[in-house]
Amino acid sequence: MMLPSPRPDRAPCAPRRARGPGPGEPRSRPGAAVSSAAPPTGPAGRAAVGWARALRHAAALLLGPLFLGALCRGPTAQAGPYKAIAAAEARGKISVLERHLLGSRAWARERAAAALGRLPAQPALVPALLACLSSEAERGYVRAACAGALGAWRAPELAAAAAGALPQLDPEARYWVAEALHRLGGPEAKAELRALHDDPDLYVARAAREWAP
Amino acid sequence: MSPRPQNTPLHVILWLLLGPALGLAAPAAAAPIDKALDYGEAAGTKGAPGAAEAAAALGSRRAPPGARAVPAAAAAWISVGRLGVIRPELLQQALAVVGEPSAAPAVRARAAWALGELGRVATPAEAAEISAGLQRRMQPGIDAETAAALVEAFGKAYAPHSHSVDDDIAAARALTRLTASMKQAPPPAAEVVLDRLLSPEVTVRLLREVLTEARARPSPQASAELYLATLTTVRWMAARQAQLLASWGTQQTLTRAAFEALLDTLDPRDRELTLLLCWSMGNIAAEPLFAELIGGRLASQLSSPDPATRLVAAWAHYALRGGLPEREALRARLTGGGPTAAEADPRVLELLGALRGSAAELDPVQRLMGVEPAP
Repeated sequence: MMLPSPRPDRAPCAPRRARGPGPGEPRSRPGAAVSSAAPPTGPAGRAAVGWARALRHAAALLLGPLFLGALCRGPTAQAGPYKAIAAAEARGKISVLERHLLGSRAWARERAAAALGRLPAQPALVPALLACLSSEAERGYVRAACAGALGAWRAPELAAAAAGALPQLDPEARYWVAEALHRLGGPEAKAELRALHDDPDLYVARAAREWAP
Repeated sequence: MSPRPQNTPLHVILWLLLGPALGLAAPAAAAPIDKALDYGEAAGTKGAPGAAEAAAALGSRRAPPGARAVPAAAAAWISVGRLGVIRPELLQQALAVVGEPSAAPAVRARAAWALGELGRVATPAEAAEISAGLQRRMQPGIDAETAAALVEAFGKAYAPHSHSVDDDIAAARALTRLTASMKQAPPPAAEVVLDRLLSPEVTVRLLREVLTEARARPSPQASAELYLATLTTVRWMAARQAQLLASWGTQQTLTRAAFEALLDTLDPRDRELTLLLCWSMGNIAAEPLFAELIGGRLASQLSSPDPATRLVAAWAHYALRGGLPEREALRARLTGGGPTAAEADPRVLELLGALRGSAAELDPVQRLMGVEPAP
């Protein structure tokens, strides 16, 4: 960006003095030049000009860098995790989803796991998903989403991991882990589902009975 | 003329150094939906009540279908559900959104979901308030998405706690009224919840109440409710045939009353209901003990002017052959020994001809005609 370069040898222009009609003088004389943009001359006026100049300096100093910084961050980062995850899923950007899967926001971890489940299986990410499902410190809905991804990928390790996780989960998470087991299929998964036939939650119990009679 | 800014190379250098640093360091302005979901991060912390309040306020903002505020409002209710904070004002806000017809279905459904989640962790009194509020909002005309979430949430809040028979009947009626009004198939959760509500006593009283109302004030809605109540009853009984048989000695009166209530709904003018009843009786009353309870009350359907009804009734009577009235009614229909002429529709006869365990056996038509088996 080319910045305007001042001419060092040019002295700043002196402000024009306001010329208003004096007492008894006519308001205008034919041919008299009256400036409509006369700068303020009092202390308050000069202070206002100074503040305006300072603000323009600040804006010029900050907005440009922020714009440059935004360009450096890239478009998906500007959108926030929600849109970033959606964009990454649409583009198949596994690395972005992996980053959010390990990120600090639980809801972003959940959405990243769900997005991974809708993409082709990534064997390299199975350990991370299993770790998430098995972690007692993790939120129930995140663990369920990780189970969902493992179920969609037909990861055989899901059955054993789910067996350990199910007793620790709230009813909503238990239902979705059960659904993941149903997607996985196979004798181990069905055995885990049969263990849920008498679950205290009516939806978990009914689903388990339907999916593994 | 004001002086121009003094741009020197130093300014340019500062721009190029500060720019990326500031831009990378400054957090991106939080999108509304991210902010709404961020409220849920406070779950289990001291900030949870404040976050729940803020999320509920966000979720309660006006968000008609198609408005830009819809995703964030819906996400806010997800956060409310995850925070698990139960306060009367929060519950009222959520219920207000669920019952607001002008709100987007996605927002109403998530508010219902939040109430269901809160209902799971609530005390019995709080759960009663939640389920009562949801039950009041089971009104005809709700969109399918909201209805599904509402029913599911009701189940979460209602089912874990004990209720009186009157409470169960009122809940079952509200569910039946809602699902009968829907143009789409009822949400799967409705059957799950109804199954949990029903007992022999609730089943009988529900069916009788719906039947009384349908006969007193006929309308498409009343007919639909009667059909659904009948379907609910036959499904419930079909799933518990073995239990009903096993408890025959102690619950005979209630079981008889259930069959009576079902048969009382029979109305030849209602083709769908008639077909449902004929098929259901053949399905659940094959046990001779139950077949006797039918007592020949379906016999008139064997001579229905509707061929489909005659077809299903013939099959049902074959299934109910353990009961003497049914055997006699089928024999009379096939041989012309009854008040009407013999069955002549080849489709009915072909169906009956196919009802045998193996090719070597005589089919029902042959047996009723007295055909001797081949040596």
